[in-house]
Amino acid sequence: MAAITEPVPQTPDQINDDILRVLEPPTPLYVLGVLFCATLVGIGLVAFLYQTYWGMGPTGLTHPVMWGVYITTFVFWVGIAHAGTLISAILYLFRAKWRNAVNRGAESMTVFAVLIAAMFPLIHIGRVYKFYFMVPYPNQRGLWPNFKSPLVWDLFAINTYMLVSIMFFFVGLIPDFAAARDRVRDWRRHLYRVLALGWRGSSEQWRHWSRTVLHLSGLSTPLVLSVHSVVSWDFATSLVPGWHTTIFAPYFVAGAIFSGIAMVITVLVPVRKAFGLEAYLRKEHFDNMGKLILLTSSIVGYAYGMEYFMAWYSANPYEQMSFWFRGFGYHWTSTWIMISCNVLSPLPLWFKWCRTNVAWMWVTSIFINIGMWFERYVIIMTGLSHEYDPAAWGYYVPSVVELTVLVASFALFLTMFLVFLRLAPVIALQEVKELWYEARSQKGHH
Amino acid sequence: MPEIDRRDFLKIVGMTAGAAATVACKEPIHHIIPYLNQPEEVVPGIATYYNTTCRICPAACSVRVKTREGRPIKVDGNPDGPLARGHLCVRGELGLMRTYDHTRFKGPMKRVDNADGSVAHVPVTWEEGMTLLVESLRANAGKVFFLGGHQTGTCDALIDQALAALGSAGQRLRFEPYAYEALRSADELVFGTRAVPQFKIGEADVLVAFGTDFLETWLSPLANQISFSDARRDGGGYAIFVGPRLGLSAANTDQWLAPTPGTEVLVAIALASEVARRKGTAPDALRAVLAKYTAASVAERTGIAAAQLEKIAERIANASAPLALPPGVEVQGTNAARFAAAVQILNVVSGAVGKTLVFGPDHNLGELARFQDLSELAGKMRGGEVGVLLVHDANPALTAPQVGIADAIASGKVFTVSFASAPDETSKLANLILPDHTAYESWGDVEPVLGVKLLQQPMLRPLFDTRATVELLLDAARTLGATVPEGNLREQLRAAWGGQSSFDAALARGGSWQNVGATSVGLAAGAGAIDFEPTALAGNSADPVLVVYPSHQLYDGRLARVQALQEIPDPVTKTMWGSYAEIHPETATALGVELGDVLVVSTEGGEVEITAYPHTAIRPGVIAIQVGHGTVPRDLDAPLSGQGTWGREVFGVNAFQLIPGKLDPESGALAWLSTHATVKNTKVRANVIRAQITFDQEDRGFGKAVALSALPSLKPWGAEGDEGGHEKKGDPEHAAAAAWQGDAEHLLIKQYDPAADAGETSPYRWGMSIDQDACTGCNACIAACITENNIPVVGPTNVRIGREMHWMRIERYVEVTDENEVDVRHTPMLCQHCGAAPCESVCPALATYHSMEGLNVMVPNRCIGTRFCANNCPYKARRFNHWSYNWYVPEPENLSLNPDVMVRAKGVMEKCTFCVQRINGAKDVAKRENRIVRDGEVQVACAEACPSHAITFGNLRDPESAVSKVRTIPRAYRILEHLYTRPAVSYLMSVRRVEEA
Amino acid sequence: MEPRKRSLVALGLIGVCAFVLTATAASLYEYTPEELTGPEQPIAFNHQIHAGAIEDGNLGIQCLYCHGPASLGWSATVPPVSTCLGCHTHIKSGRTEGSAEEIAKIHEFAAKGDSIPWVRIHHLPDYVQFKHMRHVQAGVQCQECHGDVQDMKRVYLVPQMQITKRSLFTPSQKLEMGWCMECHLQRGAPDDCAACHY
Repeated sequence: MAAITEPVPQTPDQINDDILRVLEPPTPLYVLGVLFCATLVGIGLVAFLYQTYWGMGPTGLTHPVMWGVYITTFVFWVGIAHAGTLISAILYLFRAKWRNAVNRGAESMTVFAVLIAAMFPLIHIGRVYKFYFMVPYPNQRGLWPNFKSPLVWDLFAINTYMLVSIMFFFVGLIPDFAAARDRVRDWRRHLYRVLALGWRGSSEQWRHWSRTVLHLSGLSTPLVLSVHSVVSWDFATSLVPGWHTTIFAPYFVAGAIFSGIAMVITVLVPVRKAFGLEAYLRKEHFDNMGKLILLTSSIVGYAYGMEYFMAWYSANPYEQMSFWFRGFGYHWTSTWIMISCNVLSPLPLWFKWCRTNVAWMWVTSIFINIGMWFERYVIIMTGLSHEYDPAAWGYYVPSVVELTVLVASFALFLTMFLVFLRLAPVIALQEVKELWYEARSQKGHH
Repeated sequence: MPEIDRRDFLKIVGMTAGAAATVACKEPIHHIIPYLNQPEEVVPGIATYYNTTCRICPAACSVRVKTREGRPIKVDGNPDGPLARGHLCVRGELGLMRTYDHTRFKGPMKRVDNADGSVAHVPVTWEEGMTLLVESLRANAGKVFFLGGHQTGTCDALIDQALAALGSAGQRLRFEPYAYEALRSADELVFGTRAVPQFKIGEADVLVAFGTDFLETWLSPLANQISFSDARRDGGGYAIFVGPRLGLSAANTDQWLAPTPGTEVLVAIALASEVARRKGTAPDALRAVLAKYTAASVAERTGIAAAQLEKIAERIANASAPLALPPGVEVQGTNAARFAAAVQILNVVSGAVGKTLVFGPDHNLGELARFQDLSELAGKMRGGEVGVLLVHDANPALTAPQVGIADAIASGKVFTVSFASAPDETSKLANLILPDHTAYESWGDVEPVLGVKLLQQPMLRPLFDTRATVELLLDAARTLGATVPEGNLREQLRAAWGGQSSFDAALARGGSWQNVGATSVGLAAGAGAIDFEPTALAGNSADPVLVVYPSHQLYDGRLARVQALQEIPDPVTKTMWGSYAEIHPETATALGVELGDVLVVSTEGGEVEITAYPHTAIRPGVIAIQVGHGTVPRDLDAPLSGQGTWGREVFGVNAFQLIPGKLDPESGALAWLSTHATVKNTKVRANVIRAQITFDQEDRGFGKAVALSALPSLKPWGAEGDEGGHEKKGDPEHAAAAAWQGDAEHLLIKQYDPAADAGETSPYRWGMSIDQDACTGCNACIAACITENNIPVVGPTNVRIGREMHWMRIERYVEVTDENEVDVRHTPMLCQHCGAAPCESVCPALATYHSMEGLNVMVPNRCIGTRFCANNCPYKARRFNHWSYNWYVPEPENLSLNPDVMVRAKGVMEKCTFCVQRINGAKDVAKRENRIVRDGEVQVACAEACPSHAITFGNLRDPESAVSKVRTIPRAYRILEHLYTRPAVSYLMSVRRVEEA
Repeated sequence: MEPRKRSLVALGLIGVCAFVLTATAASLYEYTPEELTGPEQPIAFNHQIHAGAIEDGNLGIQCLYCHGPASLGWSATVPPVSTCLGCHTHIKSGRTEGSAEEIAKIHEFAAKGDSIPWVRIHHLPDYVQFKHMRHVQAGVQCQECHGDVQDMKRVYLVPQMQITKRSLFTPSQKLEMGWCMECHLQRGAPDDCAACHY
């Protein structure tokens, strides 16, 4: 463990002080930030209402490209939503202690991301006011949704994931709410009192609590794999050249974790700086996340190669045309952005220096976010533009409305995250304390 | 009968609110408006049919109009009628929209010249209008001139009488831009008669067309197409096209010769001499001239190898019934008459005369004005010899800008009265506008071919405050104290048609026709003296030659206001909403022009700014522009809507103004092909609005073809050694792809029974078969589909990015062949109603599913618009409503909507339904008679319209049905079958009529 | 659990139960014709007198006498004014008081050459293609869909609620789809969407 120079917290109380400091009255900068994001969200809302009034006309969607920025962004946010559960649940089960410092941030991201993701199918459909036709419920028409449709699978997958991750998130927060309740003296303590569900910190409660967390992680672990597999089947089960392939499920899951981790870094680095949490978000955390990125990045890179290989090897002219078009056709820029961001930009992380250099990690993570958005864009666009019927080939250009909504989704994400920062500790107190006690006991052994 | 009381027919729409066009109005209280007195033959919800005549072009086909509650909603061919035989062309199918056009003149108007020099028209009452007319007529007694369109029959006679009563007898022109002057003069030169004979295309086994657009506008295009398809059933017939453009007609021939523009005449006469030499049929009078032009002697100038001409001559000589078609306007130069004469001589020596070229019953075009007459009229107007100009059903300001009638009118020397029912270039200048009814609102009769008399009866009460021009002229004459026949037009007609009973009988049939015997003709004396030298073209010979050609869909521009026609892709270029400068890619590169460049094309005639569109269906060194575009904007205050306000725009350019006013001395015809055009590239990029971005099908087996020689050995589908129709499999160039596809079909296609894909108990499995060899790509099916299924016009702004809503499209694929063979394949693509439809499984809302009768049903009102189905449809047959298009259809255009079909709103998917409303309609009858629907009882709109009988629709569960039989013939195949979608639509390969070397 | 929380939970439960109960009750409620009356019509036409049972002293005219097209075409149609006049040229006043004025209105409309703007009661959405003749020919009684119109003084939309196997509650007789399907399935009529939606 070289090159770790941050201060180390002295006492549990100091930990409380450091972390709960975040909850203290906001700075003007913070308020400005929230307002700015909220405004963007408002603009996005207007764009959406405009589209709802006129129909899909204001979007760039057309024949034959019927899915565009909206579905791209949907898949993107579902992907982001994976990091949280991965870090909280899977790493928890694997007892990867380093996760403790980042898992709260990751979990919050998961919840916000999945909430946003769940919105996009609705923004995308032509008659949002009829979305309930998709939902199975007893109705006077006696009609049910088509359970053969991957979109209905989506409905279930996304909602399940949303519920579980919210539960997980909340349970993890209970003790910290209690701590906050005991510390904060303004109106928020009433809020915390309710949220803390009467947490007293008795060993009895701690025991129940840890069992719950364990079981919930067990419950949500399969979801990490299932959700994005189901999302990938939206494409894989179709006939569209470039979509109709079996590697999509693992390919998408890897991509999701890839982008998720990247987003964690993108978000936590500024927080770390702003609130001086260097002692808790330590370089070894970035080191480990860097390794995860390297792993997933190479999986994704392999998938890209494999897609092209299969297109060539299948000797299927439709696939071949589709992939030629992907690389060198109308959308070639997107394709090369995707490859350079997702495969090339993480390569320096093979060097520890880069992994432990927070700034470097941050920049890389932003590249990866961009690249992963374009990955979905490329898959959707190139698949649809050049399908089977040459006479029906066409192009797609996103419209202002679509891009506004896209931007607004990021703004909404930030708004939620910023507000969350003020309402709950962004780092899980008790887990950091665990770390601290362990560290001390280890010292004792020396 | 037309006499039904159509009072309140507008209100009655409310009665069929369940289906009528008022979909968008969700007012809280709905009313039921009953008739005051219900006409006995009207049962609300049941259509009534009337026979009448389509008056769009001089061909005047007999049509049958479907009316619901007193408003016509669909036009189709009159099955009992002559010529049309129950089919209709793309123009006729949408002709109704001229009546429902909401921007028509609402009533009489008079011109006011503002102080600032601008001109406006203000509404006036009919009284005032009539006084103005009568005054001007009185003031200019004897100086009245009537400039009308092609007019025959009773109305024609009545107009003459009215003119006579006004002391201006005979001062009249029947002007059409395509007036066949050259042909008439040629007949005089060769046969000594000016008659326009019958060209029996249906009986010709070898057809040679010299730039003749016989499928677009030439003589009777609908009849031409029907007989053309008859001649080519099952690989029969052979056609050669000689001309600069591979237009719609040319694309359906088998061989394309593109001689140096202007020298087509030499090809014609050389062919004549070669044929004559082979058959030894040269009349003495012609020996000398024929000997002068041999294939070898013209090869140099025409750029056509002698061997090739001899081969064709050989073919014509050996043909049992050859036929050569006289030149169409696009190759009509200053030698038009002599060119046509050369073609007629070819007909003489090839023995076509009396066999496939028959005089009598002649086309009734003898009265048509020559272009020369029009320029003389312009002269008279300038000279003040004309006091009042009555313009009816003609638009010289658009179609004959060379003669400067517009200036003559604008000069103010002439008091101009326009009877146009909708704004056009000429009425814009008129001093007085007294709008006429449209053809579907008014009485009339017409005699397109001698002996064929067709009646025209009103289908609906006039929508606006208009008056029949003929009645109006007679009234005027009466007021001026002249004696003209009493009674309104209907009474006149009844009298002319021999009293009530015979009149009613004729009305029921649509007219009366008997066969007029043929008359034999001999060779005229002067025939030998004709000089067949081509005339030089004006302009710099380095520049491309300007070819201006008629529009298939807009005719001469008279249909430019019909937006649906603007939006149907042109059959050749697949462009919509405007005209383009078509050039061969080679020429384009030579000129440094790319797709979408704005060019300035100028001749001594004029100059236009137009967008470049390079494509291969045209001869290098030629620049072609379609007429009929660049007309006055349709609707200057179009509603702001999802479709934008494109009604206010002008689309394309008026190509007429590029034609210099040169005439052919013999015939007085306008020389369309007379000059080179200078092309300047402004380097400005404009949008090219097109439906198809490539004409190469990448060997994907959409439009398949089989060589005529291979036809007998072709095995039916599924039989041993079935090549899956890959005639190119042996060809190394295509071996790889073809092999893959061929094998794939054997690997992947399990034998399946298309009839199985329906409920066990259902007696029906609806299916279709489309014969690509018969399909000419004429778009009539699309037009029929549009009117039948309320398909909206989405406008250029949406079409440009590919949002057209047509439920079927005609895919045009051009195969690379040696430069003479024409291998253009037209693949009508619509929902295939797959047995294992990819779209059905992915819809989350079950809005699309497979019905008990094997239909792939789309239920728009259940659709939530995830659009997954459209993504997953390999045929791309599904269309999405990006806007609520039909919500913005203004009164009274909404009355043209079909009440049997729902009007789709924004955010839902739609697609071909196999006209399920017609299927259910047929089942209404069948159920009542307690039987199942018989074969042929249901006819889908596209099949009904198709003049080539290319589409067969029926019940696959009935082994005796036509469609079941067609599916089993060897040429049948299904598209993208290896995806195992089990399509219900099968295609018949087109036949390449080339002798394999 | 401290008392405040317990009371909160209790409140919530009560609320839920209340909602469920009222919803059920509302949906099961049977209306009686007295509480119901259709919209005001331009002429107070009384179906009871015209179509009511003869033994009750009414005229007992068959539905199809006036709504004839129901057996021939898509719409049942309201009869043309001429049909009314067929009888009412002679019958200038009925037995109910005020009938004379109402009958006079018919003559006014006829004189003016206007037709009568009846208010539509049974209205289907435009995406439903309903054909009366199919149903009449299949022997469906008018009353099955329109209720006992012959007993109505002023026509109204008959609500009646039945609990069926198709779904929890089929709708009141507002001509909604579940209600159509109920009958279609019972009688083996087509259950293809395309039978009505195109």
